Amino acid sequence: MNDRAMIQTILAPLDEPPRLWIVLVAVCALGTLLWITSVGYTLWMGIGAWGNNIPVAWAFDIVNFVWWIGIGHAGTFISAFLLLLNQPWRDAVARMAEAMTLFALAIAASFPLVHLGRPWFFYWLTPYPSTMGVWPNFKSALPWDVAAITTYFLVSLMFFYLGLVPDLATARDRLTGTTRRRIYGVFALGWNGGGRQWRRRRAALKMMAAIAAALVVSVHSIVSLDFSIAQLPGWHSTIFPPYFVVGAIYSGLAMVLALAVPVRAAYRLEAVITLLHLERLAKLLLTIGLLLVYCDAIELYTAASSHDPVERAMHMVHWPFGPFGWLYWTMLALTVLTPQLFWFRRFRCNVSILFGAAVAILMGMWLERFVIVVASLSRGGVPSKWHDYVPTWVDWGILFGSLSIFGLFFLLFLRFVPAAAMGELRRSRFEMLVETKP
Amino acid sequence: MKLFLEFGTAEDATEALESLRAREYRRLETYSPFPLTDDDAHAPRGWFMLALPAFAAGAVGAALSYGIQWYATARSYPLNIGGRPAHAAAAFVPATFETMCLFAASALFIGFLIAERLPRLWQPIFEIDGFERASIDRFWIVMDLQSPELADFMVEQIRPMHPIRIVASEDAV
Repeated sequence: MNDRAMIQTILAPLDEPPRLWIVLVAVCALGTLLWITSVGYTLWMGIGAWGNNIPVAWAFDIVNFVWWIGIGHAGTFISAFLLLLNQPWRDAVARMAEAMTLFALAIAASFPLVHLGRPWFFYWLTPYPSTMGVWPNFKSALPWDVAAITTYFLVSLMFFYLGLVPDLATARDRLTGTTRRRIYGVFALGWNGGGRQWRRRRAALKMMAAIAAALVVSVHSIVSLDFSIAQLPGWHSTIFPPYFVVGAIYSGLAMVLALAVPVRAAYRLEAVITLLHLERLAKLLLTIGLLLVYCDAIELYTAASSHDPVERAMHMVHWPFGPFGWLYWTMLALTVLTPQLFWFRRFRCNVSILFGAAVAILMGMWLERFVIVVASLSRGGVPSKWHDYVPTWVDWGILFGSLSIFGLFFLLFLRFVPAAAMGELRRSRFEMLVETKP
Repeated sequence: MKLFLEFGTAEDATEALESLRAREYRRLETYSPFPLTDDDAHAPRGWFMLALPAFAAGAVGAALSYGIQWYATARSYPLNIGGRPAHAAAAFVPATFETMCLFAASALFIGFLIAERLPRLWQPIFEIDGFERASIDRFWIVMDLQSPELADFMVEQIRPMHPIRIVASEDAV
């Protein structure tokens, strides 16, 4: 595929989206209405509208929160880690993964906000000199979360935008229509493609990548501290920070695959996001999946060799054979067995299987958070406190609504933003041409 | 006096750039839809001027964050929660680290904009007819000639390098 064709393919959706686009937007808009209804009902009635109650004080809200934050980790993992490691193949999927990160983070942040009960007082979490004279309690994990997620969102946004500027300039100069060109022109900031601009942008991106790489590791570690600094068996474990980071990257990579496969088919991006890219993502998924298996095993081993009978009972009895046992085994099957397909090239190169496996892993990772949160809370140390959990329609409404909002954001992204970094892709292609020249 | 050389392919432009550099012309700038030289594409140099403010901003961010946490928890309104120390250094680490990252990354982003004097939606160079294709499929080399007398000589020199067009401009672009 030559440069002209590449620009044409990447910018075409900005002119005219595929026919399916408007149908999907309609579906996602309906789902978004469901979200608005569910959240509105929650705000009106209070969080008693949800299924969680003592001792299961955290349920769908925190499960969804951790799941979405996890999905938000792959974007920066692909962008930052692989940029630092000089892996040019990342360019094809990096833009999409970064956009996915931003949307997932924004959605994730909405869950704890609504769970505050009175979300309009969310600013109480930030240190500001109030007339009441009190401050947030910085010895609690929740202000840490606020710092981590705010930072992660803003840094991801700057990283995404700085990478996007040259493509916005191409859109400014290539598209037709004065208004549209003006809008892209404003967002392109006056990029002129000068050698010095490219060089400084690259330097800034690389250093931001180094910072973002540290953030990938730190953010989900901090999220895991929400659990592990509590004393509940099943939560109080030192394996949690690495375990959560691995799980986050795992589900995030699965989401990248689950998005890349349909997008490349619908937008005819097969020549930009090639089978080779998907295969590499599958290999990464397998690697991270094996790391997750290791973490699972260590968690179980630590519990089994523990002298705390409640801790042992949680891992040996309540999780596998308790009321949510069937979810535990489904989770293990989905997260541990599914990636084993990717040992075989045949499966790595089959887009339907890639898509199916990615969705299965995403579901498995959601269940994993559910087991950790709900199964642990519902079976504490004192049997008189045991209590089961059933989600209400509001819980389901918010979960499916959040998926729809994500879909809606992503569809708008595909409609208005060039979906791959043309500058970097063309540079790699140019380098390949120069190298292969006799 | 500046000469604007337009090339149709990246190969032609890089060859021209190399041969001009081989002839000791130093006041050259390229404008292209992707970074034209290895230096521009991989940025092995020129990062220090961005790294320094980023480091400083990170240090300020970390100090600020730790300071706020210390002031709020240990000085302004100490709370005794389960006998834990008011000045709990370990508990202040996560937010301190995150603020440091936020400040350093912001310094890089803002530093880039300041260094490149962006946003600058209109620039004199955009007035050159056809320059907008520099972000699509044309590759420009801009030569800054110290004296206008050199122009004719240079045009003769450059012609064998297959430029599509050579535009001479007196304006300080």
